[in-house]
Amino acid sequence: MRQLLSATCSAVLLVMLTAIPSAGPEATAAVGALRGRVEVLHPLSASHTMQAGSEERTVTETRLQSVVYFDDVPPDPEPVLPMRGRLHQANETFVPHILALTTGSVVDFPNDDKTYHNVFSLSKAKRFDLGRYAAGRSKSVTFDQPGIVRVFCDIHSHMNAFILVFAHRFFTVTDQDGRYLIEQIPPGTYRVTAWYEGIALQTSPVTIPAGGTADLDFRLRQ
Amino acid sequence: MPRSRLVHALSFAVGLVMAGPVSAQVLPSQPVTFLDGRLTVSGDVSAAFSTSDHETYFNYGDYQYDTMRLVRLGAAAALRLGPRVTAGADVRAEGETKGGPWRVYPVSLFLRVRPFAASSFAVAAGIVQPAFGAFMQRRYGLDNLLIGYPLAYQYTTGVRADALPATANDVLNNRAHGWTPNYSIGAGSGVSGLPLINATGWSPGVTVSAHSATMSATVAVTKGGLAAPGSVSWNGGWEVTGRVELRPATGLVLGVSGARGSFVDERLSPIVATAVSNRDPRETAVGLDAEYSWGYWLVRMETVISLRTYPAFLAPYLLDPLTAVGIDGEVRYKIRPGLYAAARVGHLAFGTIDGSAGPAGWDADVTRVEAGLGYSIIRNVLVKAVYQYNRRDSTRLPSLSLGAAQLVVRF
Repeated sequence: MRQLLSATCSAVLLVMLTAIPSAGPEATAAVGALRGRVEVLHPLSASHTMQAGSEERTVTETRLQSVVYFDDVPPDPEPVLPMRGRLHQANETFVPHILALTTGSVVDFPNDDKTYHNVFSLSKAKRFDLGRYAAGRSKSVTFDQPGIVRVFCDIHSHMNAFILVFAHRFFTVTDQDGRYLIEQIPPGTYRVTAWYEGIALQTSPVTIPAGGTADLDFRLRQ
Repeated sequence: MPRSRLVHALSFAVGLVMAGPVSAQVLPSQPVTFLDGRLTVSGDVSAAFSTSDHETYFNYGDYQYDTMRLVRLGAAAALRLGPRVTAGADVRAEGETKGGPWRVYPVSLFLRVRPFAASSFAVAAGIVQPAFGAFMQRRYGLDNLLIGYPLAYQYTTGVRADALPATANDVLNNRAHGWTPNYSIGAGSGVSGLPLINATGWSPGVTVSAHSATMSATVAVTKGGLAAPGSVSWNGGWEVTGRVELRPATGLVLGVSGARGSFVDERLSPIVATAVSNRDPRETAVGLDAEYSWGYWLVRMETVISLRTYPAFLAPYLLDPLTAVGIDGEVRYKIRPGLYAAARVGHLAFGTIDGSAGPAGWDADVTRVEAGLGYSIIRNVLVKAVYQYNRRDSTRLPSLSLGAAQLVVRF
């Protein structure tokens, strides 16, 4: 059941990520903004045990961040500019756990651990395998297609991260409290979605006022 | 019904695959946790398909199970009972894809305690695996690059746990017949010989381990030995095994292992006491292994040197120890994301003993070459296809070529 929900959520998101600009509201000079909070009712937590010198350390992290994005994309006079992201490998964890980028963006994968890592993804949106590389080294990948990219380490099975690639600029990753802010939005009525770990998804309509800020909160349940 | 179990296992695996490419994003990305992360559960399902090897028995680890036609369900759980106390269990069920009986066994079932908060020193007691070799430390379906086992961990030799040779000629008469050697002392025929190491064995015992960033050391004391674990034999003797693993540079792992203990059924003790020599049947083994990886390459090598002493009963006396050396080397190269090529070359050589016709190898040397491809459809689903060639230094069923495929699903 959970898999079905997850698959459905992902399918919907994939469609949304690739959405072409709608015939919606006309662009105006006065743009608005959207802010709010995404509350995850039962956040996932992950823990793993790792060797730190002669000590055995259990690292536990609770995943509280989500991604908020526009489903029907506002007409945007600005070109979608590629970004530069970094996904560190530290303490046998990808940091940050979630990245959201525009198409054409480049992500660096520096290894800040003392052991080998082997970053790879078999996702449809981007298949890559960086091979094994040591501490202090970094490799880069260009994400040229919109979609969800699940990133793993071939050596440490507990390591995983999400990279969400959008064909537009109207998205953001929430902070640890779930708060978010998306700016420079042409006024109009849109559908906006909050996405969490590929297992929870909620879409709501919102009207962005010209020169103002709209509020939109989400409560995500797995 | 083995057939229906097989169908269920495959249905489960296929179901995960057929969940479609979208679910590739959302299959469990790591072992599943419960109880706020205190309980971790993981598992794997593998099914291997091949033509029958029911004549040459090159790939049988015992008389019943062909490793190239094996279905395996594995589940592991670890429950953190406190900051330094963990209970662990690793259970497997195995059968053959062609049907036949299944066996269910725990690979481990233990309580592990770390007495000191600032140290990795740990003691585990319960059902444990011996601290020996590199291959045994890996999870078969997931970490085995190919389908077959290294020879030292699977190939059945002429040595049995429940029967003893009365003379050196007895041993030589069973040369190249490890799948069902027959001896005059102890149990009758129809039982397979022992590999140098039983890769799936477990025994009751205790392990003590400590780790640092560049080294780990483990010592285990178990009831039952490397070749004849307490789980699959009446081996009531104790065995001490130890392994030191060094990581002197990133990507380089060097291992040294040692073992000494019993390999014979305790029910043979009264007969052993009547031998003309007072040597107890003992096995001694030394293992050396190395792994180096860089970029898209992974290279592994493992050597096992085994020596078994026997009591002598009748002339021509079996005075020489039965020695064997297994060498395996394997390499993997990732061709593209999700696709790799791998190959393993192995050789198992046996020492000579003096029979009435002069010195001869106590078993027939074996060489194996296995090469193939592995492709991950999605991260949790791996398909392997291999070609394997085996050659035995004997006129009795000297060679075997076969192709095999395996599906591995982990969760």
